[in-house]
Amino acid sequence: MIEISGLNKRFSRGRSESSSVQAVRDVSFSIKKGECLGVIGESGSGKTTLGKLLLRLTEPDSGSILFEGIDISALNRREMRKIRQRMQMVFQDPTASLNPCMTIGSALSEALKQRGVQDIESERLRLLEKVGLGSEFLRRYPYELSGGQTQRIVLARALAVRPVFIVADEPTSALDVSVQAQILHLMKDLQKEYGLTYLFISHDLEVIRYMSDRVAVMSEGRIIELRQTEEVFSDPQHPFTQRLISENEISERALRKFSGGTRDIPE
Amino acid sequence: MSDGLRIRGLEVTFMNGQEKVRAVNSVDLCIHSGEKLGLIGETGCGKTILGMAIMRLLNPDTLIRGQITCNGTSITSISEEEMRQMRGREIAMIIQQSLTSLNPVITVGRQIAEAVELHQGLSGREARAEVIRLLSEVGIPDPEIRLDCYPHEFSGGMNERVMIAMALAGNPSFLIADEPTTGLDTTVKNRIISLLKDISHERSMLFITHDLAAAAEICDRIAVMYCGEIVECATTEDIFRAPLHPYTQGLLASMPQRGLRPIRGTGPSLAAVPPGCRFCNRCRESRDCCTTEHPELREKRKGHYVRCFLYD
Repeated sequence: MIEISGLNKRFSRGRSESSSVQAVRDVSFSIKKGECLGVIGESGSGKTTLGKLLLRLTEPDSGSILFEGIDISALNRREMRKIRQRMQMVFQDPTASLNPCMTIGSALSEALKQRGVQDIESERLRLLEKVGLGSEFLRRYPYELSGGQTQRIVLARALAVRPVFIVADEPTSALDVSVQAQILHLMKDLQKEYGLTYLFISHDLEVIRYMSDRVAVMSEGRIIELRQTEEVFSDPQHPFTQRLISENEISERALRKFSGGTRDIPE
Repeated sequence: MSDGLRIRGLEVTFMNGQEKVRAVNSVDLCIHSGEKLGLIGETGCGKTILGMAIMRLLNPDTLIRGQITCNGTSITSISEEEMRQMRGREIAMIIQQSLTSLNPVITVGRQIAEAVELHQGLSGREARAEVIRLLSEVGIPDPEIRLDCYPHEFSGGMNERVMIAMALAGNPSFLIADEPTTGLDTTVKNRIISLLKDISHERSMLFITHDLAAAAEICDRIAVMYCGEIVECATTEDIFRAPLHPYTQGLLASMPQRGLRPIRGTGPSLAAVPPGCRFCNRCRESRDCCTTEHPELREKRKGHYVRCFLYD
């Protein structure tokens, strides 16, 4: 589905060469169709830049990005726009992702027109239903929605163009745990239903563990470890990964001490 | 005199046009001297409003009823001038979102110095020395160089430390920390938590958060807030080991570490709260009485309070 090799991106800060930052360094990997690749790393390790490069929302300095066999790093704007319908990005702050002056209904219509859908009315309702919302949301504005509802709308709008690949950049880190659980379940259901491929970026290791088939660990722009999710958690190889895992354990320490207490609640 | 913080029958009501919105409803809480109380709940449940009410930082046209006393002084009845004397010295708040709370065009050292000058009456070189001491207390390396930096030159975790240093400038005995770990990655979060544990060692603290793991690490007791009300309050161990309220149980079960089982539905709007239990539309155990009668917060076991008809 996706195959990238030798991807590099440097951002310059100020004029001098020395103050520039190499956000992504020589990154290569592939993602299979229907797979979820998790990306973990500390703030500033290059996770978001990597996600944007894959969609060419940021232009890479060098390297190639093969998407369904086509090298998209060489495409011109028009060709890229066509292919971008098949890939979507979901951002961390859902409220900032929607136009505040536009009703939910028109935000969805805009995306559907892009795809050339004839029967926009019924397709909008179908999309809302998919993300668990009713038709009353069509007339609402983003400020009238809660964080969880907004993220559902963002997902509905992403799905409107029928993508096959979604980059999700910390999609639940602005949400409460109870809402996070709803959105993660929704994303897994949608993945199954549409056969979606995900690049899932998060600094929450527990979320990554739940969502991903494989995990890539980033540090200072490099991928330092990329393996099956359970292997990364049970037997981290790189010292940096080991540190991330042990930091995660420290933050879980108190919770583990108070284990139990969660009665079995039926699904 | 140091007997902690007591809140009795607190109600906070906003006027939204002609509509009344009660964001905090009949809250009774007590934080003993030296105790760390966690206040957990979802966005919009009234956690921050409760913190702001204690600091008396809410808009003057907000209707506030009930009693708040801090170390014997009635916060709800003293004059604005007396309150100004208390803020920062008796009781200080670490405000949410460090980056937007700091002034981007003033150095962090200057911003902390303002608080130092106000609370300790120091100036010039003495104030600067105190700022350096505060910065090193909150774990900022090379404080004598770093105090001349601007907030944008600091990382999220460093700015959070600056906020904490500002709150400590008046050496308060009571701290309110509002979501101090939100948006930080795990490594930084762990460091901020251990810093908060250090500085609250001989202080009382109200720790407002939706991060349950952080609350478990820091707090002696936890109060769970839902839709403007405290629905459960008990020791941290009881909350995590034997939660009674279906909402608390749901909140714990929705954590990835505990199975990631979401609570169905969404809570009611504060502008249109149902007459009965506020959680009943999402509750798996709701009965007929839950939709019509409003449950009271009752002591179910010693020190374990719950607002639910299941235990009547």
